[in-house]
Amino acid sequence: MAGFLATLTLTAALAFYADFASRRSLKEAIGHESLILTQETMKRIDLAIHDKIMYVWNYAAQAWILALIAKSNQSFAAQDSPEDFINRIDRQWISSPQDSLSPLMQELQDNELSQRLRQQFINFFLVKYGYSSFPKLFVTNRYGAVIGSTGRTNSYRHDKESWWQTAREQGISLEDIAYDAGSDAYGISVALRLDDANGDFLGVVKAIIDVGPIVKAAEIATSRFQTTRTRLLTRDGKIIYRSRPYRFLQDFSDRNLFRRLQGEAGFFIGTKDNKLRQRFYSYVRSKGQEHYPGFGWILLVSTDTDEALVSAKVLRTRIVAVSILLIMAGMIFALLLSRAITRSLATLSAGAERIGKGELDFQMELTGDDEFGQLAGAFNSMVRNLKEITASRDELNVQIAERNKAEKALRESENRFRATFEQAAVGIALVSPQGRWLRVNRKLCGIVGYPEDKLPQVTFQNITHPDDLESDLEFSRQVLAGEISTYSLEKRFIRMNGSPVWINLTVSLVRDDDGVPAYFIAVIEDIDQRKKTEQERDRLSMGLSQKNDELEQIIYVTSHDLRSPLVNVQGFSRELSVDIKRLLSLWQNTDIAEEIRQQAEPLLNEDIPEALQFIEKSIAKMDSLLNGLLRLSRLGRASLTLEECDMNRLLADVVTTMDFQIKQAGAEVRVGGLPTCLGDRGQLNQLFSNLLGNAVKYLDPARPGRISITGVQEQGRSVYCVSDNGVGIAREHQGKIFEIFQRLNPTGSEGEGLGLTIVTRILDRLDGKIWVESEEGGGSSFYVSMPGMTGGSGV
Amino acid sequence: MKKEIHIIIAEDDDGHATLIKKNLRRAGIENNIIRFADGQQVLDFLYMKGDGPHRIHGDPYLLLLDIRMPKVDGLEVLRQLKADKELRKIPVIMVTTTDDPREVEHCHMLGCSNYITKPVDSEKFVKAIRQLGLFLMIVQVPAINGNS
Repeated sequence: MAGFLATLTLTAALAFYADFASRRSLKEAIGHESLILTQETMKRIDLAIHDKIMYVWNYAAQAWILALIAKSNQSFAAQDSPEDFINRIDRQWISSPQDSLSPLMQELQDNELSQRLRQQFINFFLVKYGYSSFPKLFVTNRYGAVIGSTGRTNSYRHDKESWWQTAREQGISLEDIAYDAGSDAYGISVALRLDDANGDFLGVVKAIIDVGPIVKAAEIATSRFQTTRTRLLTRDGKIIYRSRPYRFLQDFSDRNLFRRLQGEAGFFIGTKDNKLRQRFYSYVRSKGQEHYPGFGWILLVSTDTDEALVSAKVLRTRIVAVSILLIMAGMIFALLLSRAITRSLATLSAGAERIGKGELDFQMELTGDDEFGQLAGAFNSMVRNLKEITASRDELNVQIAERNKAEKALRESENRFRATFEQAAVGIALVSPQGRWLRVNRKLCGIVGYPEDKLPQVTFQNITHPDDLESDLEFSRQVLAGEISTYSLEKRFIRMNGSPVWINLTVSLVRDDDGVPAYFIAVIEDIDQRKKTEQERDRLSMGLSQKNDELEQIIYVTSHDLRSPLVNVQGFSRELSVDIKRLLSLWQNTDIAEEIRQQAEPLLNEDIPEALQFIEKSIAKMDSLLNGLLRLSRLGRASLTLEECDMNRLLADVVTTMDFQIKQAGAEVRVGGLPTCLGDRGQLNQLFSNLLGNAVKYLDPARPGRISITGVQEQGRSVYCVSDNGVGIAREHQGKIFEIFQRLNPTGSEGEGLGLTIVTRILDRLDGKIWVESEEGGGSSFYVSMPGMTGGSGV
Repeated sequence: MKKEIHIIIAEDDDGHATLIKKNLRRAGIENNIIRFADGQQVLDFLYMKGDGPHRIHGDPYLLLLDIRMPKVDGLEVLRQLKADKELRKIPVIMVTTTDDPREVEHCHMLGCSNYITKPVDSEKFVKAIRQLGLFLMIVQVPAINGNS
């Protein structure tokens, strides 16, 4: 409703404004238009007057008139005193009563000229138009005497009058509007000079032109509206003509109005009746036409503005009416529409309320192609979105709660990390890819010997020992390039005091989400002590190794060199033996005294051979010992070829080689499926030959010998077992059997007692281990542990 | 042996030298046996240098060579002999205490003909020498600087 009123008010306001504005411009337009009309009218009036003047002139200039005037002039000239003649007549003329004509007058008036003048100027027009514009017209000769006229003239003589003189001198004389008693008419008078063919002055013709009809005619032309009034005023503001009744030459009543008539032309809107009525005023001053200079008359045309604008008013009224109708129609339509809108809005708002209450599953039922349908559609989709958003929001809340939990966990973790970081027993540092220390813990500062504030001034590279720098840089380059993910390196830092410190460095790289290296995590373990210990150990080990080598060398050389004298001892013992035999045979074939024979024979037969026997035996023993030593020493010097050994094949070879001994002992050897191991084939052959040899050697004669060789894989190592059902080894002896030159049964068997020593030595070099499980009388099992192919070091 | 082959024993140990000689004789070898106690003497003899005895030009020789010798050891002698165009014809039998297979290999590489280990067991030693003697009886030994 408010809108409706507002619209109405607005429309009304607009209408009024339009009305007001249009009126103004309309007034302007109409004013201009009426001015133009007034101008035209004035022109027409002037033109008409001019025509009249020319009409007079043309008539008067006719030859016969001129001839008549000339004739009159001649007759006057013939007189003795034309002057007196004229005066006399004139006196007569003037003194005669107004209402009657003197005989001369009559004569004049009846002469041909006069008749013709009357005919031409009065009757002609009366017949044609009903009135004559020429109330009076007369002709004078050069003496100023009337020689013809349409009516009675005031006097006979006119040459003394100003107009006559002006006409004679200038050719034309015009007098402003005045009352002519003779013709009882208001008119302008025009006097024209008449010349003969030679240009000599003949006379003057005078006419009074009644402008009334002219103006009236003009008025008719300008009267467009009922309230249009036309006035023709003299220069001084005397009324020549007025639409309303008037007295000729009365003063224009409204002096204020008259004062506004400035300039040649103009128009304005003035008020009358105390400003109740408005009138258009347009005025024009006469400028004359051609020979007629004009009297400066003012033509004033005025109309009521209301009347002038009446058509505009009508139009406006129509517009207003139509507008109002339209507005009404619009209102009704709007009302209907608003009703529909309101209904739809009500539905929408009801729906919105429901949605607002939280019914997010609600969908509005508003179909239709119009905006409401669209709006409803938009609402529905909004509801759906809202539902999703609410769901998202709920989810978001859950996520936020989770995130808070996570943040809390993160904080705790951060605290734990910080604690771990700071309290760690190893140095931890975060290092930039360029090597700058980003964050370090206390331990690290302790290790590298720099206080925490001094570290940012140096880089990783700065404090790395030059010898270790290259490999460190190469590793870190590989990590940065992604070729490796982490590396470990034993290297030295140079502490702040210049001393080197051995550390074990483990580095990994943390990348950001784009995979760009962010920082290294370096774990630095102080291994300086260990390294020193290691170096010491290595030194010792090296020394030991050298000593070992030296000893082996000594053994070798010694055992080798000992051989030589042994050969001599043995050889010459033999010689002795041979010589004794020869001596004995000689002795037996020689005659020698019995006593000597009795004393010498035991010497020759028993003592000396016995001595020699012992010598030989000892030498044999020495030889065997030396051989054993030599073999032992050779073990250490032999080079090793470590490779994967097919133990099944190797043991098959060993068994085949010892086939004779095995068969001789009546034993049975079984070889199970054996795993491979990492070792030297030759040495392993020797090893198992020794073990198998021992097994055969120490069989129990009471039962048939059964030897089995088996193997398993456990924890990266291959463990073999050579097991027999022989005599076994008593517990107290089990340690000693591995010692050098120890034999379990020295008298009952052969051998130097080096077998197990050799086995032990071999296993030392091959990173193996041996141990025995045995019971006296219950057989023995010798276990040999070798490195498997996958690695794993022995203890 | 067709011509009188001279047997050279290069052995620094007198006992060993005696034993070898005795056993050779017992094996039936009647050939001339010359003994030198160090490598230098052997070389001088064969290269016919020095103040000592020189070999006889054109006669065949056989060398029983021990490795361990003072001045110039057996390996060096072997090397030098085998490097000489004529002297390499001389069969060289290594007779030495060491039985290190690497040594054996080395000597063979240098060009020795045989390698015998001196056993401490004189029984074996004698047997070896005797076998050597028998071997020498049937073998052909080229003459040095001459026609055989």
